[in-house]
Amino acid sequence: MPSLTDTTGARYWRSLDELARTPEFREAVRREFPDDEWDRLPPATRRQFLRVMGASLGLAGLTACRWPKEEIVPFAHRPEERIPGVPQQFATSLELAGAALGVLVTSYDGRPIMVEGNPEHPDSLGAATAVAQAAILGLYDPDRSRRIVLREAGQEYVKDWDEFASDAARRFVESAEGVAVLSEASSSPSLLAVKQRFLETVPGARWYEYEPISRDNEREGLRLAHGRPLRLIPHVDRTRVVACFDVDPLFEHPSAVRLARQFAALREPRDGAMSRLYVAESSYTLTGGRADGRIAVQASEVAAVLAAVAARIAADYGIGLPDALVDLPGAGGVDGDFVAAVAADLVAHRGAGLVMVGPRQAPEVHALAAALNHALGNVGIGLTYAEDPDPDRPPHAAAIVELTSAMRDGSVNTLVILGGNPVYDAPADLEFAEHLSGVPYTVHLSLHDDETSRRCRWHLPRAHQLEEWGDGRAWDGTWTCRQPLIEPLYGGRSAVEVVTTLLEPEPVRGHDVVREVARAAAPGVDFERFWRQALHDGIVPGTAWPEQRPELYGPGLARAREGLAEIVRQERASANALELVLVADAKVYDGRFANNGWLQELPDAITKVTWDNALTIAPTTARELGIADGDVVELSAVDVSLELPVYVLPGTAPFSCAVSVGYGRAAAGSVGTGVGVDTFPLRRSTGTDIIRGVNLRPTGRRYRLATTQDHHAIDTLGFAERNFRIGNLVREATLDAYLADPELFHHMDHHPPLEQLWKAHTYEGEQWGMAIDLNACTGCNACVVACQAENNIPLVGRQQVINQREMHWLRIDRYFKTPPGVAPDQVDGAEMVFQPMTCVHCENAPCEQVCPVAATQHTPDGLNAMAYNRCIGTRYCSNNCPFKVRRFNFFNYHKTLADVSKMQFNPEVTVRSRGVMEKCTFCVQRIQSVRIQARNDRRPIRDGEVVPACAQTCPSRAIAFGNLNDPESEVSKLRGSHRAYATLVELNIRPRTHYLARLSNPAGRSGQDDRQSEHGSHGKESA
Amino acid sequence: MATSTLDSTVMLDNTADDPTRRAPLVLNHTEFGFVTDTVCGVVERKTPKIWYPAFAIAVTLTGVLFAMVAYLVTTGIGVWGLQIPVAWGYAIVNFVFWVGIGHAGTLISAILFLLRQKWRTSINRFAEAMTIFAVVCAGLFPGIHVGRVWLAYWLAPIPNQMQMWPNFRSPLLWDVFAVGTYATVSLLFWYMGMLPDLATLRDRATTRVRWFFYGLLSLGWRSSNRHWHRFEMAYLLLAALATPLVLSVHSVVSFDFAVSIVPGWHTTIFPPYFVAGAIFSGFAMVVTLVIPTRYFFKLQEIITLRHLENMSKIMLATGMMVGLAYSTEFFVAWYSGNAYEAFTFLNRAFGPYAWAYWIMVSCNVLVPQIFWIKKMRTNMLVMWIASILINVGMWFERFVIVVSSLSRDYFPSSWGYYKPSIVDVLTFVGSFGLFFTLFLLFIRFLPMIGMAEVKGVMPAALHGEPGHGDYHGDIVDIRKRRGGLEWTGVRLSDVFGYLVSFDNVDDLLAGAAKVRDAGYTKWDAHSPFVVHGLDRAMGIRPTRLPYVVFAAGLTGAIFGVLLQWFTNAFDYPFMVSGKPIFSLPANIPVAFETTILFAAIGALLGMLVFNGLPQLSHSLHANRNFKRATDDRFYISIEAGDPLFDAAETRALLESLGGSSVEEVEA
Repeated sequence: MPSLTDTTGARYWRSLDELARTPEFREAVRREFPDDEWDRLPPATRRQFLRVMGASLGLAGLTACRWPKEEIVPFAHRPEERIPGVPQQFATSLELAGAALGVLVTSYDGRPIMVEGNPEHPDSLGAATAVAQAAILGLYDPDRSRRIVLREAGQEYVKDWDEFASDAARRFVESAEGVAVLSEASSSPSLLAVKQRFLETVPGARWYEYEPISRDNEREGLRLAHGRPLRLIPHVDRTRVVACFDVDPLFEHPSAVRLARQFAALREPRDGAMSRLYVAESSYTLTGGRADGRIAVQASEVAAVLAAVAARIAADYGIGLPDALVDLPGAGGVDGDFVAAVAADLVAHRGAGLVMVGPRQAPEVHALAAALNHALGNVGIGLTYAEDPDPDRPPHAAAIVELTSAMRDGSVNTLVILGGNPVYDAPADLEFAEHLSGVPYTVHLSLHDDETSRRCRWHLPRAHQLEEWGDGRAWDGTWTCRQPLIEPLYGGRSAVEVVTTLLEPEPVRGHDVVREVARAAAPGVDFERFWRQALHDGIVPGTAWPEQRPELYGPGLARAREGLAEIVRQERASANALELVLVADAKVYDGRFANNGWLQELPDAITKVTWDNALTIAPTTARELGIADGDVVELSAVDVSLELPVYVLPGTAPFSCAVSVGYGRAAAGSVGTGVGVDTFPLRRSTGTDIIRGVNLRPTGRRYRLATTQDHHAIDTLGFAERNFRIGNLVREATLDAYLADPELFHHMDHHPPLEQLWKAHTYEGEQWGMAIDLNACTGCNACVVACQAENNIPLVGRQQVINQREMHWLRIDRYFKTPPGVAPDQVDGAEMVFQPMTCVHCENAPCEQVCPVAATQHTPDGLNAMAYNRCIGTRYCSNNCPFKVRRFNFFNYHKTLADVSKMQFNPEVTVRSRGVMEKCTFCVQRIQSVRIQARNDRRPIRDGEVVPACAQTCPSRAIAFGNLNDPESEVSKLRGSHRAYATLVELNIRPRTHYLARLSNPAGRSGQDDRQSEHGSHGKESA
Repeated sequence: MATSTLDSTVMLDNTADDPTRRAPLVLNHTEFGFVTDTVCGVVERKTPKIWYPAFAIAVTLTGVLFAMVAYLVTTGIGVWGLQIPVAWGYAIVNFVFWVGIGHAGTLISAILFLLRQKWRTSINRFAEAMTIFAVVCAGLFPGIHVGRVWLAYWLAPIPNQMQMWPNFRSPLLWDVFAVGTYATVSLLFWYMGMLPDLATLRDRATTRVRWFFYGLLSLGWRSSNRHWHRFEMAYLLLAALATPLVLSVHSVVSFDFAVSIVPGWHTTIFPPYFVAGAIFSGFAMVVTLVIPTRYFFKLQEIITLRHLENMSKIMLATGMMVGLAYSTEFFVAWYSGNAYEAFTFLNRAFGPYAWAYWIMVSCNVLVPQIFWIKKMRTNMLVMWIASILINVGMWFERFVIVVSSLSRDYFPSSWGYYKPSIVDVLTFVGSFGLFFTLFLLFIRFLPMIGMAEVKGVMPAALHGEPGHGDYHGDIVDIRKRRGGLEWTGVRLSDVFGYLVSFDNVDDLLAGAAKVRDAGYTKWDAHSPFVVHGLDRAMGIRPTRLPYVVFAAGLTGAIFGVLLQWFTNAFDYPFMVSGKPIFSLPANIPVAFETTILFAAIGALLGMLVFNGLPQLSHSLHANRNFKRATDDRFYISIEAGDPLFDAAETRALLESLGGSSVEEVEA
């Protein structure tokens, strides 16, 4: 039978597994069916691999090549100068939810192995997010679909592209009526072009766009405020005050990388001044973690806070707001101090402020913010507007409703789904899956044979973004190229190619479409030159959308006022009717990255939870409801009830809880299937992610969340000690205190003079060192994934994370700071701080002396080196490491790795065997590569030439690396800063990584504020 | 009670409080033959029924141990509960636990020997064997706990494929040398002490197999006083070497912790504290083993209540030392003003591992307090239970030190909670299987009490003591009781010499003096134990053995320092922890251990070489009556090769000594 024998075995078991979801059982299944059995590349692996490699080398004359040589232009070298074994970088882009992020991909002899930011790209500036970097693992995902599947009458048949093309052609001839296309949001001009052609060619065809997570509320809010949909482009660098209302611009924005960079630049106090950030939100975000003033309010209350701010600005400062908004309904009960401070600061910094509202807030709230920005003169400075690229497009939430109702009434006969996974993520009340089954002819193009694919007639394997030709636009509209790094591993095709396949019998190559679209967009230039340059740079400068200066639109604002009144009138959430906020997951997003192990194992920035989603809730609320950390609760909202594990998270608003979507996938692949709980059933077609009237009931069961920090519930003693230590480890002060006494960070701990029993070694030549600016770090995790990709760090899985055996060389410690004497269950208002922590390469490294086999030694250039081959695994070094940054291979973590996944490995870095200790090397392979280059050129190594992976990708440039023996190097200068300090110096270990203390700039608390006095008690001098 | 089968329960209590009264160390009997029969009887008689199930259980558990080790080696250290931050768990806890137990044997043998504590003789063999088996169990754990077991030999300073040497600045390497030396020296000490007793077993052997193996193991020991003389010197030297060794081993083990910077480990009190704890747990283990053993093998008259009471007193004393160490640690943590230390100790007592801490304190500090009461320290059941509880407590002490310190060190972000896996637990249980397997084999096949030494402290052994020579039983009768095999070596029809036997020490001494005065040089005296004064009576000059041992020790010291200089400072110098490439202080532990190792081997080999051992075939062995030289009779032999030897005159001289009739020994 020509059915899918390769995957059914595993899936059959996995469905049983859903019946008996015990970890033991799953482990048994994993052992019974090791990945090797079904993860191999389809035909003769090695030959296929070589062919694939050869193709992407861009050498002419290979018949296996799909693309001729001139089409891929290396970033640094011309192909004829290629030297085998020397990595090359190519510019391309990765698109997520309709915004393209420009990246550079390192390719090693034809294998892409690393994603970094493209310095030329406006939204990257050389940095990449954790999700973007993890795309490499997504490319080599062994679970990606590798077959064209026809599902007919309960049977599955493996077909090829030609069979699909002829079947589809027949279909379009037979019944060209009732054709609909559902696509993901896309900024691609090429896709737009083929879409136009498709709509012109197929009469009556309809094209819908759906993204489960979008910024449509902002778009619609601006439509209210200005009469037409606009795109808001924040420019934090031009602000002095940013007020965020339930929004996370430093992490959850298409331009987050750029915004983090701009934000960090403002945190360096210049001339005694620093920017100020206000945040009102229901649960901690990374932006909230960096706030100078923050209140935790329920998400449904945020509108009231903003309204109060607007009212205060209008009333107290006489700023002319549009009439419709002047007499806003009162927003009683909100934090008066916060409102007053925000209002005062926004007014004081008119024209240098920015009010932002989050995507889950209703359009009316966005309209109010737009009006405020307008009235304060911020438009054109702290934010600019651009024309929406597709103003006629209905909002995604409306589009999916429209499509489903068309499916329901039978007006859709043929549905082509380009990407996305609507069966999983469409609003639950639409019952999309049932209606999909009613559509006679369905096609799904996707990376995985997923939930939606399994309900469609045709499943088509999609080319990964790193395998396809394409294009895209940055959030600000800048044209961004996408060129393949490798031939599609599994014969997938891009959306553009599939649409052209539907239109024409002879498939058009994606490359040609993209090129033609670009040619049409750039008339009157030497196109070959232009094209080469565009591919080389990855972008075409000056293609951003022109700035708009819209005026306020009265009728829209009047409508907004009504809506606002309604929102503000709502009752607050209470113990019996909680508020639940559905959020996009920081790692798997809407579930599309669920099968990416790097992301699954990446600790959530705030909760440090891996491999799961958890319901976060404030400590006091948890206590009131009789819930403890790790309890499983039954959550009921409207007609849905789910069981979820609870994570008690300080900084959460009372009676508000939050959970991310994107988990509980039924057909994600061997990594992501069954991980976490699917919370999409809570979503309704009303389109709101703030769900009210939610009830929580403890089930009495407990669930072990795999966290990389706080591995066990902490006792009172440990809690007090942790609070006591944080102040010394993560040093922080207010700007005023710092200006009054710049040396205060050096007085935070006292110890006897550090003297050595012996003569210290003299360190000559390059001496590598690092400086990490805690004031710049947002905790975004990009460095963690960069390190993982660069250094071949293995995944260990959920159970091993529970066993505290995670392997990340770089971790980001997250602490909540509470005033002394506060009990662990009363820490709602705790402050959140981050500290990236990896090997600090102590000069007197305690790990080195205790190794009996001399496997860890000091190099002449100051690295604490680890000779894996020499290590026998006594683990003594880890015990003696005060930072606990050493990682041990408790098992052979590469044993079950699929062959294709091994293609990701960086050949410059040893893959460690079982029983061996490993840790941060300061990316010694990068140091050596630069050193060889410098020696060949007979010159010294320049400052900034050696960049470790973490520093390279840091969006906020928090990590500096360089030669400590060079007083002019950036790292030397930073270490000379007043803010520089090293942790645990009293041990006389002489860490080579120094931290730069964090500063906060709270409003109106000049000189001796309570934070300062609280801080004093953290210092060691009071001990 | 076990005493019901014995003559009188009154006599059994030799634990009088009157210090002026020397209570007998062997009860109810004064004849040497009693000791021989009782101790050899354990090996020769039918095995008590209880031995078989006990052995079966022990072997099964050993099987579990090896299965767990095989699983570990094939799968990875991850099968244990270890993690980061607690990268050392059960394996190291068990290692320290077993090494600690392994201290009692050498302590009893060596230190009590130097302190002239005669009561040690009944228990030292037993304790030494226990030491060796405990060290075997201990040595297992560091071996298997490394991530790549197959490369564990890189710990040894031997050239390997990495072209590198080990790092002599690491306490773990000191450990390798300390434990290695300790195991070697303990084995030598144990084996050497057993030589005369193995000869006894050989001479009483009734089967050829026994006769062959015990003969081989005893190296041809023939109770010659010229041998005894060097034997005793070697034993004394070994005791003198083992005493600092036993103190150093647990000190070095404690350096694994004390030299690190982990709060709760980094403390100067560790060496004495560990040594006290080791003695404490070692004695507890001896008591745990000896109480059932003396009961099942009916050894109550040799291992008496007085022995047990003395051990209880030692446990009381060491228990209080340990308790003092616990409180000192707390005091220092507070007094030092080091916040990390202070927290570590508060965390031990009141943190997540408080349960382990309080088990430790209850078992180690509170339980021994019952030994203030005489009734308690003479009650077998109470002692037995207390000794087991003490061992539980001592295991938890190591658990608390290793695990609670690591679980919460400097960075709160990395704090964790260690839980053992089932493999951890089964491996630990399995190590008891290995220990008991070896122990049960030992009591079944080897003399578990040092017969020669016990005889040496009996009243009859002492010249001029009352009661000597009480026993005048018939030789033939005893031989009927236990048959002996004929020596079947090749016989030449020549004469080796003359042999005369005595039944008490006094006659032997007097006879020896006469032979000496007659001017003979190729003659010897033979006794089942060291007879004091015999050297003088025979005119033997002090042996040169001490010089040999000194030279060997000096060689060891030089070797140790040169080894470290050559490997770490000359052949492959490397930089660690900013320390100097070569620094003597860091080399002292290893140099010390090599000194002891070389000296101890020198002592044993020197003794054997000077004595001309092994000499498996000797004319005296062929003499049927001479077999009692390892049992209860005393002999003088004059060789035909002596320049003064004259068949008639020599015979007359011997006959004048008052012993048995003179025999001619064939060559």
